[in-house]
Amino acid sequence: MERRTFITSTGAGLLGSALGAGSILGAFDPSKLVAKPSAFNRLSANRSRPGGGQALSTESNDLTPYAGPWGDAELRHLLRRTMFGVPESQFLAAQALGSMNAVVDQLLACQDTTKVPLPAKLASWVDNMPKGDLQDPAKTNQTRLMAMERQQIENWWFDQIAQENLSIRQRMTLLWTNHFVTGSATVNIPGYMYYYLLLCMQYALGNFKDFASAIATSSAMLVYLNGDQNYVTGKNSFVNENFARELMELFTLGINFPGTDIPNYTQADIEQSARALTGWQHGNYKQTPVAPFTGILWDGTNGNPNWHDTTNKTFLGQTGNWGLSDVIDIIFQQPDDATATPPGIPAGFPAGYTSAYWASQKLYQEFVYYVPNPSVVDAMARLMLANNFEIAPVMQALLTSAHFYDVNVVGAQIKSPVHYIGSLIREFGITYPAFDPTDPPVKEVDKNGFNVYTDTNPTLSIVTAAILNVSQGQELLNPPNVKGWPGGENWLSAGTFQGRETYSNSILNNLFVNTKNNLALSFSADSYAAQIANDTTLSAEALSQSLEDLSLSFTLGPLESGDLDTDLQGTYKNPNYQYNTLGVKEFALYLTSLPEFQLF
Amino acid sequence: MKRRDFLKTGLKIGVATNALPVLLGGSPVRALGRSPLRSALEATGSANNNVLVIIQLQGGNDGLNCVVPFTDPNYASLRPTLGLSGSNLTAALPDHGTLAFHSAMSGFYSLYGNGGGNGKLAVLQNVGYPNPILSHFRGTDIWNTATDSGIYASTGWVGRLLKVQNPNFPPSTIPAGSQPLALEFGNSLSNLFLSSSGGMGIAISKVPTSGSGSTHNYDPIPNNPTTPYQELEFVRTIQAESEIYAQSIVSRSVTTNKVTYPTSTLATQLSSIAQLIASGFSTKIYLVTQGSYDTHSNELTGQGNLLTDLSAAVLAFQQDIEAFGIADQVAVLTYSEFGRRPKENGSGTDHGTAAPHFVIGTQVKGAVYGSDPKLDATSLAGGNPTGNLTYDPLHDFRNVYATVMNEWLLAGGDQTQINADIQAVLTQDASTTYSTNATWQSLGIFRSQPLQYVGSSPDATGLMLLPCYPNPAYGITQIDYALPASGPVEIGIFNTSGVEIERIVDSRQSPGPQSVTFDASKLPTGTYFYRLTTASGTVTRPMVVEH
Repeated sequence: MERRTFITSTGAGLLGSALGAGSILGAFDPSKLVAKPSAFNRLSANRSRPGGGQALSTESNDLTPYAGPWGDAELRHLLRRTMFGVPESQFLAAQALGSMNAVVDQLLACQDTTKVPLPAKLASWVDNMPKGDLQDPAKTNQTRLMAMERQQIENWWFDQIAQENLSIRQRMTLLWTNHFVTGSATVNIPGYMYYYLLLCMQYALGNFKDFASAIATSSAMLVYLNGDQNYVTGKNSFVNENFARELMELFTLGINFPGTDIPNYTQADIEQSARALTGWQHGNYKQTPVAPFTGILWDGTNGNPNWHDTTNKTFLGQTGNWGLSDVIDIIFQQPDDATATPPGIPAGFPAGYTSAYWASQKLYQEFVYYVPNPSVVDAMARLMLANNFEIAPVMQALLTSAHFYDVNVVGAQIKSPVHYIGSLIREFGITYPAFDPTDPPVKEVDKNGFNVYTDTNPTLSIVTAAILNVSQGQELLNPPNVKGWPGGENWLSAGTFQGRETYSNSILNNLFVNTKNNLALSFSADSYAAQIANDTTLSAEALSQSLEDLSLSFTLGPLESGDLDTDLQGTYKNPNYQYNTLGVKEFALYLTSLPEFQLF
Repeated sequence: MKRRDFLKTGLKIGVATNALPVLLGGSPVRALGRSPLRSALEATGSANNNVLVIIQLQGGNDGLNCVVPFTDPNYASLRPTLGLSGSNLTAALPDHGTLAFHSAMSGFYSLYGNGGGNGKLAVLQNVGYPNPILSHFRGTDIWNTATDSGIYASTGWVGRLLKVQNPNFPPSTIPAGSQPLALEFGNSLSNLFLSSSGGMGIAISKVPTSGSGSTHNYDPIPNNPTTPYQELEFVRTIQAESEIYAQSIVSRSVTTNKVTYPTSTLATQLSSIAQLIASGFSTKIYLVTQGSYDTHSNELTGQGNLLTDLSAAVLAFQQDIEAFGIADQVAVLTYSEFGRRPKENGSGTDHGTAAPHFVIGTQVKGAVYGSDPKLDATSLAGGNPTGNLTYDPLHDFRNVYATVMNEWLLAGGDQTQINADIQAVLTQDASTTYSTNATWQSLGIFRSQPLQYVGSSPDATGLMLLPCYPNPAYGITQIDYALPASGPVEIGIFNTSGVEIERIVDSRQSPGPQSVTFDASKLPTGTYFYRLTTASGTVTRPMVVEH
């Protein structure tokens, strides 16, 4: 359609050619890499199938700054990729900031938590959670209490997501809970999950190496990957390899050196580093914070020197009486030319490249496309190394790169369930009662004398439960396994797609009621349209176009946009009013049913 | 072997010249009457209507505490805390006194019955592969994509098999009323079901209660689409699948089960699968996932609960499909990314290598296949990595897949074509090499194997002598044969020098299918022959004995 041309103006032709790749990349030639298929690369090169699944090849395959026009389409793309849906008000606020760099600076300002503070503490109970025996039937009340508290944490977080201003913090936080994975169902102690979540918010744009250290000793991680059951007593050794393996495989290194089949570590390295990590104990909320835990987000973690293996360990080529900080240091030195680890890779890669690449790849998959482009990731890794593992400079460069604004990038990502529901709530002006920070549980005693804990935020519980159950199996803080949600095309299947349609239909038809039978989530067609204009003289076509721009990364063709225009005009077309409430609702229902709405 | 089984498999031969050989070969007689099923089978290109239900034991199941070598003193010393004994075990397997199941697996124990090839549950010991990977995710990929451990592939063995069988899938538009080729219970499609044409099956988290058959008025995808439009095409495909397949499932003809299932997610999913199979769905492969078996700690409780659910759910499923009368077309296969370390770490076990797996069904020759795991210090020290179990090369997991294809999913088709298909799935196809190995073994664990005529003019004589199974033989092996007329019959076992070692049949027998078993455990490792001598002719076949 002629009137809808904005995306195509974000043409690749605006970009310079890929400059100076050789000098930037040094000895590393990404074009020689053999890309290995994996979970996110679901499909082969055969184009007889629908879908993407290959690394993007764009005009700019590094971090060359974007120098094209800065218009609404580019701004919306930036905001969609860094937030969970973009209400028109926030788009306008960002527009008022002016340049791309100004908006990116605003989005990344949360790297300084004194400037953009962390959310106020959820509740006091996060500090005095009893450590209960959840297997004991006599503790049923406590089990209920914990379930309610776990729900409260999810609700609190989703509220942070839904109410977020111009900031990348919550998108980063969700990414990190899907990288340094723990799971509330396994950890089972809500307070631990709260502090873990806060850690992910604090380090959202922090230092990746420091982040890895902090996570390693968070109570949630110690419970989730059995770090607390990895110990020696006297001659008895109860070395548990669970955390040591995932620390390297999933958190910091990856199995193989980038672009090769060369393993970054061996089974012996796992066993040796597990010994170095012996003795850590998760918090029990009764100990007094001691150094080095004072002054940080302390959740009770401690080490027991009597349970630590003090003999020498040989880890990634280095021998010594290693502990946690040594293990982290050695990991973040890989590859190490001095010890020739891992053996077989070409010399010349800077120390720390492996971890920087691993983290950069995760960032790329989250913010650009779920299949990594090795050349861009390489540039990100080298930038991260130049900044001593700081995340923010890499994000700044990525979000201002020509690659990020390429025509192959805009609209190519599939929304996660949280993103899908977030965009519904934020872009369609869905309202819900304010989050109630009352310390749960609100305890009542039922007629049989049993304690009953009341959900103080039933509305948000509907949302968070919907994310899990109604549609798509993404329970906040509870990924399916330690690798996290695979993302990309894995988000959509016959089952989850139907769940999404059901959910959007229900929410736009105001079918969600809370336990007191009050409307819990409220959609107002008038308020939705009023985001664009209170001017009822606005033509239906102009309003339709603006609402499409609000939610879609695609330029619709005549069939789809024509149907939307017809919906919006409605059956009660009034010469004085170009649209009406019923038409707006029909429009919203059709817009959210479009496959384009699944993409961003 | 039950007599009626042989008659059925014999029928495959009888109809081999029928106008619809691909359809009819290998089908139980009663299937011929189901015209919807016949058309469905034609549509899916299947040689039979056999169904495989795959249960993924996610997280790495500890095989040693499933099929427990409880008489091995090394077992108890490796597992002072976790070692099972006494009431934590079932009785010893009737035909295999050195093994018992975890007591949570009473359902499996009853399915095993007396074993000896007559039960409904086969235990394949020491399943694994060379150069094992102890990562959950890389390990799972290896099992799903069925590659050598150093080879990476993006497609799954089931997806490739379905693509071989359905080269034109997916259609440009999915016709209303279609049933999926494969169905998974889960939120996202496993790479097990991926082929070079994308997903060959669908994933649903539960059986839908309503379909939404909306029609769409979409603008076309541009030629040479950019990546966003490629993804848009993917989303539209998923949307079509969700609407059409969901509608087919909603309108299935059978919506209740014949037995009451236990209350577990796995059981609920299996009950839904029973309904779909009983409804005559053409879906060949189902996948359900249970876990997590990643028992680094608290294994006694954690694994025990999971095995209780697994065993009870599978038993209920088996009873259900038997009550429906569809059991002869269904087999269940378990797999897991690895077994666990023989030596405990305290209250749990770390990642390991080889493990036993199970094949279940009325057409499965229930028995223990393979030797007990070797737990002595020397064997474990020689493990890769050291301290781990060594897999049985005959039980490379690709041989399990080859067996499932050869003896079950493709059974009844042309053997040359079957071999080619298995090569394409497990060794290499036009685009990718999956393994440097080109030879795969059929383990002989299904009753309804494709039959082969032997002798000079089998049609004239009706004389048949089948390959013994298992072959290679290590314990009891079974020899099936058929006689055209009554008369004296001799079957002897000969060594390579031509000396008869044992006469295992020497009697007058009636015409029709016959069967005899032979205990190969008393013979040294080597090659032997067995010879059938009748008035109608003489047939000889080789038999390999391995220990």
